[in-house]
Amino acid sequence: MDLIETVKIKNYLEREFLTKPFNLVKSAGLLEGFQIETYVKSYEPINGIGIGYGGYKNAYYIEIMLKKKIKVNTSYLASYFSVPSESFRVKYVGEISIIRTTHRHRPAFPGVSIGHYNSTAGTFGCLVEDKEGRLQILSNNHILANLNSANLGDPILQPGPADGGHRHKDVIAELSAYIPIDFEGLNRVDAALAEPLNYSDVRPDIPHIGHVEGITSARLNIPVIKFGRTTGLTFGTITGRNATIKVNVEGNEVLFEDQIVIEGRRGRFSEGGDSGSLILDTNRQVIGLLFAGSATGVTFANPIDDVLTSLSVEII
Amino acid sequence: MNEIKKLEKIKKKIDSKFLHLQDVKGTAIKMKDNKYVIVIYVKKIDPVLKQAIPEEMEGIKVYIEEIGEVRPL
Repeated sequence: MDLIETVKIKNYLEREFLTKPFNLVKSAGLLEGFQIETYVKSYEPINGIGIGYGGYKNAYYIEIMLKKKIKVNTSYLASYFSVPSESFRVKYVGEISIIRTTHRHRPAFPGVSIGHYNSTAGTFGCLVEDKEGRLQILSNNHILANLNSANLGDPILQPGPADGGHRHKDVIAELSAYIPIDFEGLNRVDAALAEPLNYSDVRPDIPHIGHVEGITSARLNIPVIKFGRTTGLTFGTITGRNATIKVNVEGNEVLFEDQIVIEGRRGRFSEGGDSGSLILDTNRQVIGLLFAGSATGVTFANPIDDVLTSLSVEII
Repeated sequence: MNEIKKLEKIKKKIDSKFLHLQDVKGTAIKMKDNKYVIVIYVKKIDPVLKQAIPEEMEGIKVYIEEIGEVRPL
């Protein structure tokens, strides 16, 4: 289809399916394209209609985004509009909602607020599996273990205390391990684990990014992404490696070596509260664990290989 | 010796020479114009620091970048 024809059909479908209840769609013939066995008055299976370009003919097409998995007869729609059948594509996207990272979520997922009951709030990094096969939430020591001052078994809240998380109703996990921060010597990671009280209270996929595909090492000037509690989804570039950095931790300068340096591509890559976020390349391979940032917006991350090795865990 | 190993060695020399200075906040390996360089992060660029830090070390360019204080996020 050409662009004008595509836009006309898209506008028509939008009018019919997105601006009025599904059961009031006037074009009865169109409904036959959506094979719904039990017709429920309030049931609205479509939550988005867009335009795409590509395919083997390099043409425009209509993308129908579905809230629920139903069969859509695209050939029927194509004949209804007298266009080729490849003019329609159907994609199941589920519910579309604004992700409020500072709210309580059950199941909770990477990118949302989390923290030790006695700290502020950081980011739920990802789910990992330890050597005993137990599921663990990965984030930073300074988020989950309160800079070495926490005890194993301490309650971990989602959301974190700074976001209203309360010890009596928002405990999601217990602190299970952390790599102590050496205030005098050299550090490589700021990392800790918390074991969920109920495994059904957590899920692994990162909003806007999806499932992690593995890990990789930092390469200079490659594009990276992250989804964190404060700034959500941001895009950056790895601008430095093997960095040795003095981090100001409550007035003490703590040294970290072999760190990754990231700078935002459009604005800042991170802000306070994003600590614990995973940093991934565009193939969804994890590169680092975000833990610090500078006044000018430069972000620092631990190499993920060091994090996983030091805690003897694997990303699931 | 490969290029990265050589850079790491030079960077270590820079670390031991400048990291103890209060306004130096870190060092890293970067790439500028398709060439590896070493960057020294400082809290604020001032003339004394600029004079103390060489523009090149063992054939590798050294740059200064102002980044302010680094804190846990």
